Amino acid sequence: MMMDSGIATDGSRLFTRFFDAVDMIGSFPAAATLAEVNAIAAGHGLRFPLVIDLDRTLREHLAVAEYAPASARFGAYVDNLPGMNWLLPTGRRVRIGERVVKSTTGYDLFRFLLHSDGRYGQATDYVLRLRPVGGESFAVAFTGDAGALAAVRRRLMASSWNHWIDRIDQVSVAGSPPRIEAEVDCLAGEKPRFLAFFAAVAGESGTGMVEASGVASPGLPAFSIKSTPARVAELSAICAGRLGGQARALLLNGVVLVYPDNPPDAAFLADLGRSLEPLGGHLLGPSLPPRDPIPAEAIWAASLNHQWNAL
Amino acid sequence: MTGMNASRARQLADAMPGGRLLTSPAQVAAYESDGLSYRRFPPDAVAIPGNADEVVALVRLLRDLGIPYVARGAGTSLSGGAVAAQGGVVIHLSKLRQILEINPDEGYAVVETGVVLNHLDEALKPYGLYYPPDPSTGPVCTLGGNVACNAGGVHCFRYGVTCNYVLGAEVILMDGQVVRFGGPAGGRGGWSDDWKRLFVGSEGTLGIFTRFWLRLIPRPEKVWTFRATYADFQQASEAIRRLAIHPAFPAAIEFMDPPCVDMVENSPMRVGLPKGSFMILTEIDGPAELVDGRVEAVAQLLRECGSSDVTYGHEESMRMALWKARKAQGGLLGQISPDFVVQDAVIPKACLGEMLELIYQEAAAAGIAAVTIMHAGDGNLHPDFLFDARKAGELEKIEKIGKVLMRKVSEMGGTLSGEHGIGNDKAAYMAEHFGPLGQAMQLAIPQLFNPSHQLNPLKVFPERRFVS
Repeated sequence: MMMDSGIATDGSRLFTRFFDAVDMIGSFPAAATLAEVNAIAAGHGLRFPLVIDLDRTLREHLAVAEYAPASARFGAYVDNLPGMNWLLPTGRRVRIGERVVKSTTGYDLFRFLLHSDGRYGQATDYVLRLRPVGGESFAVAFTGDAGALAAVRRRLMASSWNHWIDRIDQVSVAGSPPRIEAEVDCLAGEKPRFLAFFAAVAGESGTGMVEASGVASPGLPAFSIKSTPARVAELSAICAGRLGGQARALLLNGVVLVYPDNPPDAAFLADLGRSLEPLGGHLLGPSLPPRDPIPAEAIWAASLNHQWNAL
Repeated sequence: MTGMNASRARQLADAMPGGRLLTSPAQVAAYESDGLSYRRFPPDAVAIPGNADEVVALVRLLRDLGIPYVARGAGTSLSGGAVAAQGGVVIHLSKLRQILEINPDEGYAVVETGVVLNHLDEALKPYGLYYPPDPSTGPVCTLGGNVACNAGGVHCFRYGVTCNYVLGAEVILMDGQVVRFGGPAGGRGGWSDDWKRLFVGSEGTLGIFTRFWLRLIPRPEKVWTFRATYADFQQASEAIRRLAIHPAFPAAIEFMDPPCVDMVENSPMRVGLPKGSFMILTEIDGPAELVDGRVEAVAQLLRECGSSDVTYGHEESMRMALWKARKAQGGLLGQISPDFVVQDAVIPKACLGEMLELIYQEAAAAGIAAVTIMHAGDGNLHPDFLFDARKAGELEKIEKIGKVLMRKVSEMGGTLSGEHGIGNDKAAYMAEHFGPLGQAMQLAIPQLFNPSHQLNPLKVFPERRFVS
């Protein structure tokens, strides 16, 4: 049987709609919801794990976050989407990236454009890397004071157990004590080993630990913060305290997903953004005020738009 | 120096005092090629700056003098990337080799561009930290070259390639400006766009790296290695398919075809594999309490696919014994053939059988020996062709085979390079792979940072020729 290459043969080289269960990869419209993606994947024993809100589209996810809770185990979106079809402002469509998961062919326009927020066009289809379903899923929650939770974070950060934990979030809710949640999708029969590890971490750190049944996602955040792993617990507490609502620190990835009750004021965002810059961090979200580009960058961006809009 | 006048040579020598400008044919001979050794491009000079400030001064001088130049680390690349394809100066960055910081709490390291990959690994071991990209040249290759070529290795099926670990990079642009993209947080910092993404994997055509911020993860506590052989391709292919979708996520899945197995078994490096067999090597890793419980399931999977000689272990000596055939094959190529080329492409795994048939067919038609290995988990194929460039017509045969294979790779939905880069070896295939619109978008990138192509000309795209 001939395999579908997933590449159009009409000369455009665009991605076609394809699903390759051997390579665990497939293309989906940018307007597909994660529920729709995972319904198709589930038929092959696969899943796309980087879900924040099942009912929102891939494009909406990528506009507001570069990491999802399951990035603890699987990495950023950019490491799980090898390619896309891209619509230039001129109306022409072009394939960006590949349908195989490993490539060093040419300049990495894919990684450059994926979260470029409409400055150079937009994606119409994404190629997604899917993962096998484990067999048994469960979550636990650690509770305790800030020092004890910091000890949990350090312990989880330093252990190779974290390669196998889907999600390690510190949840800050205005007016409530923070907690760390961990979620696992493991092979059938492995749950007791994970629970023993989590119990040992709780014992060493002086926290409580309970099995938590299905922690509900609060949906897509208003914006996200990229910082370093050791700083995000404090940042999430600051955001929840200042803006109300809740903030989720993705502890291994150095990311905070912010769900404010009150819209953040411009001064708060400007201060936050400035504090992140020396570390190479930033804010992301469609509702954030635009930033002035660095002068050199303004020239590069104008040149790119000029060249690409002439195609 | 043959390609530059005495005045220019004197200015360069003044900028690199203390014998750090090499110009005699004997001195520059070692820089004529990289691992693609049959393509030689003697540079006019080799400069060895001692620090980043000297690189800045040198770049400014070369710009003013109108001399093409290329940055180089250990020169282990396999695609003809770090060579002076239009003559000029090779900037050898081996003196920028300090590990500046290891931060266990934040999980990153700051390193200079000339740090040897395995030196970083040794420095990380006491912290229990791990930097996963592991190209086979780890004992000598440098991180600058790894980042420039987006290097991979045997464990990237689960852990990813170099670009997954670059949090930030300091780059010297063509005008001598030093910029930092990203940093410990791995984001954009003050930039609106993520420019570092364009520089990683750009094969030294956009700027010169001087330092990196690299993401680190906990070192796997325990590793189990499995080796199995199969009498026929269908069995081996099924083993690859089942391993790749197994929720235990092997860290590596390696494949050797029968000619490669036979090459090892006919050498002093033989390990007792059945001749004519397909070999699969796989590894699982993790905390001992977890990974030990997965061992029998992986062994059983390998047996169910038809292997009657599944061997496995976790002790270091046992693991090294199991890896021996796979590790030996690269060195054997150089011992049994005057020249060889290691091709690099990624294909959908379902196409492996069809691609092997094409490799055997083309090699047989040309009278060229071929052995094939593969990072099978992610479809990264390395067909190796053994030839003698001194024999009339052999080089042409190799180039013809390369062209046929790369066209087929693109047709299958694959890509021209998974981890070696394009260099000057595959630049000619880029137009067909990208199509006119895709190529035009690609060529817009060097227009931003290196519009005259003075830095590393004739690489990645053949159109990138420097005109002084």
